[in-house]
Amino acid sequence: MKEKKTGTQQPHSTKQLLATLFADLNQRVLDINVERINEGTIPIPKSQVRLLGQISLMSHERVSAYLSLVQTNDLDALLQMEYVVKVEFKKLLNELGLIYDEDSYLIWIPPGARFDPLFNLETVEVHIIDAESALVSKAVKAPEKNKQLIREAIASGQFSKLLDRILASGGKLEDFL
Amino acid sequence: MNRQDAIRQIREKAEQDTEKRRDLRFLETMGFLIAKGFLRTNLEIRPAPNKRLRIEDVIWAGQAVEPRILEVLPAAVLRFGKHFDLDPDKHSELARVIHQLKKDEDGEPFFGIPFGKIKMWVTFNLPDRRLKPLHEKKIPKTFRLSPTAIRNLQNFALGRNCSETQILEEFLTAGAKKF
Repeated sequence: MKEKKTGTQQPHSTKQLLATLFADLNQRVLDINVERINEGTIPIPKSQVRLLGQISLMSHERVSAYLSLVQTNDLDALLQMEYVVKVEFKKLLNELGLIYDEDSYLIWIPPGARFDPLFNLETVEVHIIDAESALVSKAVKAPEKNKQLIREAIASGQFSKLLDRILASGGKLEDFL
Repeated sequence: MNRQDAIRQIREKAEQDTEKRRDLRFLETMGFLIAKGFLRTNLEIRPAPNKRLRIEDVIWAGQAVEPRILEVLPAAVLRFGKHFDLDPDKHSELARVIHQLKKDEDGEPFFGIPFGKIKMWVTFNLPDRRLKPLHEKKIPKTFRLSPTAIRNLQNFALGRNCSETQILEEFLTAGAKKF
């Protein structure tokens, strides 16, 4: 029997949640910029967000349709933004029941990783790591925690270079047997 | 073992994993943790906010299927104690972690998960706003006050149309700034 995954049908999918989050952040920064312009100071430069980890997989609707994903409420991302924007960002996350993982910068990004655009708003640009690279990172750095996920990804046959990239980065096949 | 054999074995294991995800112990655990906002998933699992869970079943689900369940289990037991059959004699490791979380102490890892990761889920905002995070919960305290002090407290509360507790809290907050 085929296992049911919600994929794109889920009413409050991760992508929708992120769309709300970044639309709100964009609005808050726009409001701050209006005040700054009125005060004669320089507006906040455009922020850059690179989503990593489980939330990146959940946001890939195609990937989410054939992998069984479970995530805690932390958001892994590399942030390039002014302090005031980060404060607003963390407040908004909190309102949505999410926490920014301050250790995100420790996440290993495998060679050849690609960052695809997710949202491009006036004050913030969001990119997402490609799913295969997110899986390689998990397989190499936390194989025990992600054993079932990696097995499912390999068995799905949807990630043509996954195995080669895991092995090339020092991962071991035995970890998933 | 050659690569093809390894891939064949991985595929077999992946099928076994799919079976495990259909186990009631996993579905009920996830149903509860999703309903309470500890976990999110793309699997179609019915939320079960009123479910009472056996700790053994939750630990099985965490070990056999999804380790993230173990990451949030101590916080879930701490915040929704009535939904779990925690027995400190039988589940001494879990009871130890919960005790350390309550005391806001540093602690040892739980099933290899660093204590800091576990602690994160004690204070984060749950969708169910009726349940306050541990650090916001009120703590009962008894004082023996003179009749005059009690009368003053009652009069202040009456005059401000608020509770006596609120008067004391406001007074202590304002007082603390002076000290």
